[in-house]
Amino acid sequence: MGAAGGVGTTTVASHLATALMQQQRSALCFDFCPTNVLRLHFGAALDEDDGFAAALMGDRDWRDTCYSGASGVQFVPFGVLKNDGVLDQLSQRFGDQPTWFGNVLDELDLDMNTIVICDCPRWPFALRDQVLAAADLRIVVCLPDPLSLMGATRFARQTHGESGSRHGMILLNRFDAARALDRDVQLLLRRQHGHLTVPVTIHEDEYVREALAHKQTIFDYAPTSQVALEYAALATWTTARSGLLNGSHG
Amino acid sequence: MQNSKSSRSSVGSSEPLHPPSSKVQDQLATRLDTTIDVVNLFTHLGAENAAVTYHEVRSDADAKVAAARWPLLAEWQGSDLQMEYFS
Repeated sequence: MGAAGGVGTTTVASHLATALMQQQRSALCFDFCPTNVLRLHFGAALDEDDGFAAALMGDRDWRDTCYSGASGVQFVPFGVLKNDGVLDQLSQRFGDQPTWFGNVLDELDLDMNTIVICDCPRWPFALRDQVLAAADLRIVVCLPDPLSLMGATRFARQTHGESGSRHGMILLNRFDAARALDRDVQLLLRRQHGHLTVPVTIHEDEYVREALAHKQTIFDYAPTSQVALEYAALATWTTARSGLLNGSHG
Repeated sequence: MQNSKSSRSSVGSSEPLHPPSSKVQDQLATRLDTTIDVVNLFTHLGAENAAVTYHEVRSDADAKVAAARWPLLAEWQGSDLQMEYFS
C-alpha cells in the first residue's frame, strides 16, 4: 500500500513478485487498484481490460481473468469497470463481505511455496480493507518526502498493536542519497521507526521508468542495475519475514 | 613467494611500515581527546557508565538536527516524540 499517492506501489508490487519468481518462489499478484495498471508491468496489452473486479460485477467467474506474465508471474488484473457507479457497487459488495478475499485465498489452497502479492489501493476503503484483512505482511511504500513519511508512520503506528508481522512495515522508495531531504528523511525514519522500517531501501533509478516504457521489468531491462539487486534483496527479506511462516498471503 | 611471505609478516606486525605523518597523528590525537572528553563529561555528570550510550545520544542528536533543517519535519518530529513519550 502507498503512504501517499504516486509513491510507486504498483512498481514495487510487480518487481517484488518478479524477484520472488527469480528466487524459485511461486508468486501470484493481485491488482486491487481501480487504475488497473499492474498488468502493464507484466507485459499485458494496453487494450486488455478484463480483470477480477470486472468479472465479479459482470457475474462471471473471476478465475478466468488470471494471466501469466512473461516473467512467469501469475497475475490477476483489476479490470476496467464501466463507470464509477459500478465501483461504488463493488465497494458496497466488499463492505458486505469483508472477508471475501481471505476466503478466496483459502479456497485457492495455494502451496507453501507461493506468496501472494497485492497492489493495495489507499481507497476505496472497502477494497483496501479486503487486502489488509487477508495480509500476513503489509508493506507501506514511502517516498523520502514529508507527506509520505507522515502517512507511512501514521499507518505503521496505527497497526503496531496487531500481532506478528501484520503491522505495516515502511519501505523507502526512490531514495537519492545526493538529495539532502532524502538523507534526512531516511535518518529520521531509521532513528524513530527503525523497527517498522524494511531494511532494504529502493533507490531512484531511471531504468525503472524506462523498463516500463519497454514493457519489461527491471530484471529484463537492466538486470545488473543497483535497483534490480535491491528488489532481489527485498524479495529475500519478504520471504524471510512473511515467510512462508504460515504459508501464503503477502 | 618470498615477497608474499614478507608481505604477510608485515601485515601481522604491530609495527607500521611507516610512521603516520604529523597530520595523521594530530587527527588521531583529536579523536582520542574527543573520546576522553565524552568520558569526562559523563563522569562529571555522575554517570560514568553512561558513556557507553554516547552513540545513542549522538543518533538522537543527528535526528533532531536532520529534522531542524526542515520546518515541516521538525513539527512532525516534535509531535512524533510527544506521542511516543505519552504512549
